[in-house]
Amino acid sequence: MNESSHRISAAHALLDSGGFEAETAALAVLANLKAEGRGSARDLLRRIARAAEIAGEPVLPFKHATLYAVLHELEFDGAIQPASDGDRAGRTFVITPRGKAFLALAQERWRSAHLVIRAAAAAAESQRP
Amino acid sequence: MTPMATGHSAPRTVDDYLRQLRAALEGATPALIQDALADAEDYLREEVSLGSYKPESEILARVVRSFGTPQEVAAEYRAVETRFERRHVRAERTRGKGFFSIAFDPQAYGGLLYALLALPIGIAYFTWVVTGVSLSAGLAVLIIGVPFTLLFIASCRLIALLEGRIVETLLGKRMPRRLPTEERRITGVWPRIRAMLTDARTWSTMFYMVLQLPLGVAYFVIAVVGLTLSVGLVTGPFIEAIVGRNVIFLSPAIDRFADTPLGMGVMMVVGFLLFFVLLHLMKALSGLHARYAEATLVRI
Repeated sequence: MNESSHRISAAHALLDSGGFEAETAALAVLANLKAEGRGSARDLLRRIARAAEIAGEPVLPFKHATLYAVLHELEFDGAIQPASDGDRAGRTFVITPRGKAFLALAQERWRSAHLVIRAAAAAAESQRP
Repeated sequence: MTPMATGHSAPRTVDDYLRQLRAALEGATPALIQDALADAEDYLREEVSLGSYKPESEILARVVRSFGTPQEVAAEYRAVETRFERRHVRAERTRGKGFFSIAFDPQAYGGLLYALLALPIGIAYFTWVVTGVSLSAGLAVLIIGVPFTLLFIASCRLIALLEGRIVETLLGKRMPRRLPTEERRITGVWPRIRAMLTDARTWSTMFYMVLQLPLGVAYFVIAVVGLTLSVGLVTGPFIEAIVGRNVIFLSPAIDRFADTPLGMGVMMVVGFLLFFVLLHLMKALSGLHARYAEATLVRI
């Protein structure tokens, strides 16, 4: 199995096994780390909440503890890694190339899922008398 | 889900919350419990300190809505653990269970690498503990004895955390990523020293570090002998052919047999099989060592 297909299967394993909240939290973390650089759990929560609020979603679709829990999972999967800050309360993380691959795959999946749902809804609308 | 709806009383203090979380996590792995408690404590204490002018119970009632009740948090961490296990089982199934499928098992290679590293690491741990304990005892009568002992014990905690990362990376066992937080709350030098000295994990960590020397020697010997023997048997006939000199194997009688075409084939097959036996042995040893590390280095 080459590196690319290994990454794809690992990403699918991560994405398929989580619940909706955990998956949303995981992808929000990866997307934010990629966009805004390193951050602690606290930083991530603050930055994601701020971005969601600007986008018109004042309430996050997951509990804050979910984000803390998925950070362990993402770290174990090699999608993120701790920056060299040791074990202080605000230990920070950075996204890894593997995490970027996860994110790219997930974004593609969510985009196509969104298109399918929108198309299905539009089809139902057009069939109304 | 409100606490009332679940039949649990709403936590009124951070300590109360942590007690409920610990109870909700009962039966989970020690590493998971330690990490979940450390995460929750950091989050809650920071929230409480930010709103210090309000009563703790009021802040906690608000924070629990965003962070999650102890039961919800426990369920979330357990879900993560379940996903770890499911992925592990799926990977095991993909690899198959045959004798040769061990060649595709990263844990076997991780165990092999750990065994090779165990000797230098074991020497370092042993030296650190023996030096630290001796100096702590020797300096106990002086003023610097107290801070020195505190620093030494803190260093052992950090080494335990580091060892946990090594064990998790190479042996695949979930180990804590966070230090326990209980001692951060203890104020005063003497209460802190008392807490450190009466904490069984302090002594079990030192025990682990001391025992890493003999264990490291054993792991290293098994790995090196297994590797050299298997590689030597497989490559021996080629090396003899390339170098043009006879390499004596074990005894002259075996060597004479090894110089025949049949003997060369047998040697290569034995060497090849030995490598797989070594990988199986490393995987079994790494599983045992990971469990021993979890029992010794992680406290709940």
